[in-house]
Amino acid sequence: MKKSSLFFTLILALLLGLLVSRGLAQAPPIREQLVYSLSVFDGKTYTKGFAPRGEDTIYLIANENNAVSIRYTLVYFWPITARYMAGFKTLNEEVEGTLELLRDGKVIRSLEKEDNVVFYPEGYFAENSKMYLHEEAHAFLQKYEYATKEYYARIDEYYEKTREYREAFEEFLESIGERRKAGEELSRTQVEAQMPKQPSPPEGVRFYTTPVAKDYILNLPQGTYQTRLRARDGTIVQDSQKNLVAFVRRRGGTIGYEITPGNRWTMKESSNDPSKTIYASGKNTLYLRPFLQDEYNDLYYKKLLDPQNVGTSERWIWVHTTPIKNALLDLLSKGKLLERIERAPYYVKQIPGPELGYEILEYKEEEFPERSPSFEGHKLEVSSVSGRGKYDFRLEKGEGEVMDGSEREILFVRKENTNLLHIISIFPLIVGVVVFIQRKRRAS
Amino acid sequence: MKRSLIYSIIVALIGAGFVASFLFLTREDYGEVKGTVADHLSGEPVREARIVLDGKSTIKYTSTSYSLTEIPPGSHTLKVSAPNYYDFEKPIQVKKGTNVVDIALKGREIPDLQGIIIFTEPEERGVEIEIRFYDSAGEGIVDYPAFPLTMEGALFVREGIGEDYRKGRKLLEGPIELFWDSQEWLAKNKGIIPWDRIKIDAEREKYGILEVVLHTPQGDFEDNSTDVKLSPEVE
Repeated sequence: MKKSSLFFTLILALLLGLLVSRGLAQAPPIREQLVYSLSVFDGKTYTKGFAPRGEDTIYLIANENNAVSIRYTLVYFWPITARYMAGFKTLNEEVEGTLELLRDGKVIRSLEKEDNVVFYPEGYFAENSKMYLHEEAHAFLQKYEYATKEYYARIDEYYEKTREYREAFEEFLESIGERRKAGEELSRTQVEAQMPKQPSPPEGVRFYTTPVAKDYILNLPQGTYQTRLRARDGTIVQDSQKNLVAFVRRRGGTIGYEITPGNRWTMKESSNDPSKTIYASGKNTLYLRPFLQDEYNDLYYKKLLDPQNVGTSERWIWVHTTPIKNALLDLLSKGKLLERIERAPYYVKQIPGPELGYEILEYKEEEFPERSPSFEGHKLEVSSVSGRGKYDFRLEKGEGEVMDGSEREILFVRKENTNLLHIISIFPLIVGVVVFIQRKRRAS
Repeated sequence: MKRSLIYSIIVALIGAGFVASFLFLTREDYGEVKGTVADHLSGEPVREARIVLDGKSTIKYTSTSYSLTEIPPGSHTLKVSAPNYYDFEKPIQVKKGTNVVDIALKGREIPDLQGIIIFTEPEERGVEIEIRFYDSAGEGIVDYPAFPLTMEGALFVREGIGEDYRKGRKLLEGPIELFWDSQEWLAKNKGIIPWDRIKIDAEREKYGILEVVLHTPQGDFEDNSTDVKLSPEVE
């Protein structure tokens, strides 16, 4: 047989084989399915998700509390995101039993459900949270409930004071009117000084605690395990068998930066490696947010965030964990300190009208009442550092103590004479035209 | 060239067979038992139907199809249980590959049934009677099996004005046809009185009084409706 025929045969066999296997893997319709409902620690907070039947492995960070429950729900394939979605609102039935943890085919632990809460010390939308179990879980929930109750009591008090203020204000206006009628001359400053003071609304509860949930808590040393659910009648629940990978960070405790460019504040970038230079161009403002960071395996970490994610086991990614708040950012040029920048809160104000723009302003509570800062960071103005050249920045904690791994080099480049590049790109076209004309002449 | 092409296609088909059989190979060592589990009368899914076979189990809530995999070939007993249904048990012989066993569960009771409430509505076919079951808390019962129920009733013309009404001329008496409406959530059991059974003077006789008795395995339950619209035109 010729080489080409053999090649053709192999290709055809592969294509036919693929066709057969694709036929088996067609997107199914809405199905009732047993899924693992997950609340996993991602290095900074708790991420919720689910593992459908097709995902046979669950990834968790080792030595951290992770909550798992097993439920029947409706699962459907959503072609737009190419993901399986769960219809928990339509069907959400938890399966009772004991979660068995196996290693090398032997049951090493049988888990019963445990009371747990997730505590968000800086509010639900903040970056960090922690899971508490048993009595501590109840104590943290009580703390939140008590704070909420107190807040509502302060609100009632505030409404009462506001009512009294309105009455007093009306009386005040009447008395001012009468005094003016009586011929008394009152300046604006005098009136303002005597005016009743408007009460300010109470501050809301900053922290949040989830209601107490009952889940299987997986806090495992690094390793590979298997898991399955044994129902109350002793049977193994169909489709509950999964592999479980508990992984650890490869490196940790170094410092990374989240960089928010002032001209596109929603398009954040990051600088995680001290050996890599940050490039900045044009007149711009950069807001730098330092974090402690850990390095994880790309595949494991992405699968932790969502078991349906894809990742690469050969790659490693940095994950920003804890924000560094009490440090100063030193900007240096050739070792000389230029500026010491404090961390400050900023508010992104939308510009009304047809411009559809925004401006980033330093957040001051009195200027933006009842609003929270959009972000916090160390403001680095590119224009303020003469616009070109190499600079360094680093974090300083306390009395001149430089934080290890916080050093970065930043290179400011100017966008100049970019039109010249367009002219250069036309050059081959001009050469082509000249050659074409010459050949035409020769032919004629 | 022609010969070598045919040869190539044959080899390719064999190759494809190998790829396909490789995909099935691991599944073939065990048996899979699958099929449907449904209410024997309505054919609808049985909520919380628990299917057990050889130390494995699965529960169905809203779907009728089930599947239990990796069952060793041989003799087994398939057991199914669900709230308000009789337990089901069947010895089966599991073979390698797929084994289809369809299960029809027979209803045992309507849970905590205390009484019925009927509502009537004029529809295209006739007067439709919605039958709602209620429990000891007075709440409507949602999940219950289908039963071979029977209903008898008598329909009278309503005479009088407003709240001051009384039973008038008897329009009909006897059994009322029942049917199962799977689209309903609360009142899956319904009755129908066709228009041709209701002979009225459409000018004077607009509303009727319906008295019914529903015969169930859990006893007889009575109710009545005093505002039965006697023709489809009544607004």
